[in-house]
Amino acid sequence: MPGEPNQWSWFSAFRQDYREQFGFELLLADGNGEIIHGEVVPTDCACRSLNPKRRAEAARQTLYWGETVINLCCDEGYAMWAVPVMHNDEIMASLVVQGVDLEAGGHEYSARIQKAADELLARALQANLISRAAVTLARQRADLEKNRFYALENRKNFLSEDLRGHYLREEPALLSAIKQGDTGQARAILNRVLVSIYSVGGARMELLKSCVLELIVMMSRAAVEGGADPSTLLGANFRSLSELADIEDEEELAVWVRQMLDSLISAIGSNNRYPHSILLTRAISYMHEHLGENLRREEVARHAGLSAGHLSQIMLQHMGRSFSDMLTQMRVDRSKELLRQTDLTLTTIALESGFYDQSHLNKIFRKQTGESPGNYRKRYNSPK
Amino acid sequence: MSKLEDLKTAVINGKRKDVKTIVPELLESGADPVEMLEQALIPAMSVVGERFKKNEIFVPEMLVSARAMKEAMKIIEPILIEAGVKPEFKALIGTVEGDLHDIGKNLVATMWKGAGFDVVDLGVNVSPAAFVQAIEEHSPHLVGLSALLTTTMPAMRDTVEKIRGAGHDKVKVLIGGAPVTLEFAREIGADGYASDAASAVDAAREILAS
Ligand code: B12
Repeated sequence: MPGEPNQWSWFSAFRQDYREQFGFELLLADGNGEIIHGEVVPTDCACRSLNPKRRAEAARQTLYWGETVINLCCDEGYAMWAVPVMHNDEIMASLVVQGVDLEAGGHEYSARIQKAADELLARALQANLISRAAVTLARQRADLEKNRFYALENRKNFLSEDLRGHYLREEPALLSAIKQGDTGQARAILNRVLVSIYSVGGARMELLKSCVLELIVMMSRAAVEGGADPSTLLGANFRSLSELADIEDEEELAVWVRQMLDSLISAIGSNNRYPHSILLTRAISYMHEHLGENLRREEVARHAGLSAGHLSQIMLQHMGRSFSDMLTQMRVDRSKELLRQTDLTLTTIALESGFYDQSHLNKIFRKQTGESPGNYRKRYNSPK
Repeated sequence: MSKLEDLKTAVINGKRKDVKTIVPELLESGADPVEMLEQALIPAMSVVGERFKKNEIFVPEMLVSARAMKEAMKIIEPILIEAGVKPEFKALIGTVEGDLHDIGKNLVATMWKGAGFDVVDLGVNVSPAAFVQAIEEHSPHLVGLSALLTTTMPAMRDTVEKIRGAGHDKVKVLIGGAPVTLEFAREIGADGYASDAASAVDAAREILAS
């Protein structure tokens, strides 16, 4: 064992075993990556004269991530991997495979390489050449880091999610303004949304275009839900939609946005096939405003000018869900927003979103999202 | 299937030899190199990333895809630069210490060159001290830092600190990489952040003008 006389005597049996199983030749290198045992298999690439430091570095990487890190050993497409040999938490040497041709390619072949690399670590662990505790710890940390990576990546898409949230909050008022023929009010609402779009997009044309497009898509959906005929709506706007790609400056974009929004406003306004939608809109916006209270179906219906039964019926018909499902969804959404954007305690958030108490919030939240509110908040706040 | 699709497939499958034939064919037929980047090469790497995330492929396959990508860039880059004008700014770029990911960084370097910047690429795993030394050697207007690992984001912070600590207050620092955000850029005192290679050009011009 490392640290004892004849400390490398195990190596030749270990190497032979590995060769028989996987067909790759192991080298034993010292702490600086200089070869102690074994010979570099001749390849027609630069890996033959690999900088010894790269071997030591490769072994350190494996220890750091808790899994064998495979990397290129030269620009010709040959790969290497290494696993450290440790004594009391100190790296004494490393087991190295280098000069593995990747060009032979293919999924099966890659799987074989991956397996051989993974097995090297597994065998080193089995032979107690490396500290199991260190590897386990590294793996746990790597898992956490991976989650952090995705949380950070998500956060970037968050801007557009915020936009969506903003629009959806304004949508009921927008739709009712349009329905009542109050175009001025409708424009004012859209302008508020556009301000947030421009503050996100700034001078970046592509980003701006994609945010604007998102607004158009959301409005078209509302128009169709409100009864506009999808084919007419799309037919009229399809050409303009495809023009968006060619728009290159802000002035052109401004003109395009105005035309598009005006035509959507009239598409939504001119249609009276489902006069219900306006009533539904009123109901939903009333629910939004009173989410924190003990909302009853009768009360909501009254404010929308409907009977309770009628409200349930059109809600199911237009939104595909019952009154209570809708209410629960809105409450969970509100709590998510508060979890992300405030430091309020879970109890306060529960009450603000209309749950009885924290445990009620916990239960419903978990049922809807598969995770606890605390965890959800952590996921969004940890990368700061 | 279009030639661009062929190119994308070749990169996804890590077929370097195919890339070597398809790219010149595309160029010959008048294809726009930027379009090749945006519609074939970058989307190809996204597919690779997705597949890796879903455990559908292994690291060796990522490595060959990365190499196929680089092969394509090698052929495209000189053409992009030809289209450019006389160097407007001088820029340094590198991936920070401990990090070996260089595809995104290379793309940014290429776009900068294409936009007429004189770019010195310091490669991967570049220590803070090496950045400072290179700044002293080349006196650039701009330094680009790339990090693809959450675990190397601290190295990014160290690098910015070292650069400022060495008294290089005028050189602008722009950072990027998949886990990097605008907030992080502000937090570590970088001058800017860009989310992709295309906006890296605009972002660079913007901070250089300010
Ligand atoms: C390809 C890849 C590799 C290749 C890299 C090949 C190469 N030569 O670059 C190889 C196989 C070597 C590799 C190795 C590893 N990888 Co890796 N890799 C990836 C992968 C799949 C894609 C990265 C990529 O090239 N994307 C395509 C380019 C075009 O996009 P980009 O890099 O984001 O760059 C764009 C922008 O970010 C921006 N940008 C980038 N840099 C800069 C700089 C500036 C100045 C600006 C302005 C903009 C900018 O512009 C670019 C162009 O639009 C990612 C997954 C992902 N979702 O990103 C994982 C990923 C980053 N890797 C990961 C890991 C864990 C590893 C390994 C530890 C795996 C292992 N066990 O072996 C090692 C670590 C090696 C090391 N120390 O660096 C994790 C990171 C997790 C974390 N905690 O951060 C990821 C997320 C995969 C995963 N799901 O686990 N990897």
